[in-house]
Amino acid sequence: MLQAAPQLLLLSDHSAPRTATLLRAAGYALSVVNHPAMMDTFDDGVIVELPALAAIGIVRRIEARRRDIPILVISAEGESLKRALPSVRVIAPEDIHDDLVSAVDLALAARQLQRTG
Amino acid sequence: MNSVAKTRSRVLIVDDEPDLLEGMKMLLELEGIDVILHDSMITLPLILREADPDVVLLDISLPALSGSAAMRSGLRKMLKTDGFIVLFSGRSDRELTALANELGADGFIAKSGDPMEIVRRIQTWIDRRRLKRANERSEGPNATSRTATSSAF
Repeated sequence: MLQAAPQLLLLSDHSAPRTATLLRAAGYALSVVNHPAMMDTFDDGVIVELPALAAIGIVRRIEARRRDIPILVISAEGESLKRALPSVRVIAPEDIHDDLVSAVDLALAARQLQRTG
Repeated sequence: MNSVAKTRSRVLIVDDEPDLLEGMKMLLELEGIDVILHDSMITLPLILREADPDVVLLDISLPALSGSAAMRSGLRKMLKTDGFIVLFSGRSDRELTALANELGADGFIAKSGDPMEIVRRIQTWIDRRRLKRANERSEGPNATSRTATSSAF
C-alpha cells in the first residue's frame, strides 16, 4: 500500500537550510513557515527553530491547539526551554546532524503508538 | 486590590510580539511572579497606576508611539510607584546601554538572551525594588526620592 511521507512543519524566522535539508533527506515532506498560524491540521509534527523566548510562546500556542502533535525545538538555550516546556524535546543546534532525524522518528512513532493504543 | 496580590512580585511587560509575551509570562510565572501583559503605549499610564508593578519591561520598538518617545514625554513622571523601568529590546547591548542612559531608564535586557538569565535579571530588579521599599518604610515617608541608575545591572 502506498503511504505518504509524514508531513512536518518547520517554524523558523530564517530559511533554516541545514535543518530543512536534513529532514527532506530523511524522507519527510516539509513545509518551512515563519508563523504558527500557517500550521496545517494535516501536519504530523512540528520543529521550532526560533529564538528561545518566542519558541516558548509558540510551543505553548501550538500545544493549546493540538495537544497530540509532537513538537521538537532546536535551541542553544536547552536548560531554559526544558524548564519552561518539560514535555518538549530540545536539540542543541550543534547536535542536529546526529540527533534531529532520529528524534523526529521516535516522536512520530510514539505518537502513532499512542493513537493505536 | 487585595493584600495578598500586593505582596507578590509583579512585572508589567509592554510589547507587541504575542509569542514573546507568552514566553516571558510563562517563565516568570514559573518563578511565582505575577505578569501583566500590555501591548499599547497609549493606555500604559492607566495600567501603570492600576498595577503598581515592581518592574516595567518596555519594548522600545513599539509602533505608533515608541517606548523611547514615551520616556521622553515623561513616562517616568506618570509612573506613580517606584517600579523600575527596564528597556526590553532586540538591539545590541551597546545600543541599549546608550539608550538607557539617554532615556534615564534603570537598565535594559536584550530579548535575545538566555531566557533563564533574563528571568534572573528581572528577579534582581524586583529584589532591589523590594529592598528600596523596605528602606523607605524604615526611613519614613520623606525618603521617597528616586535615583535612577543608568547602568544595566
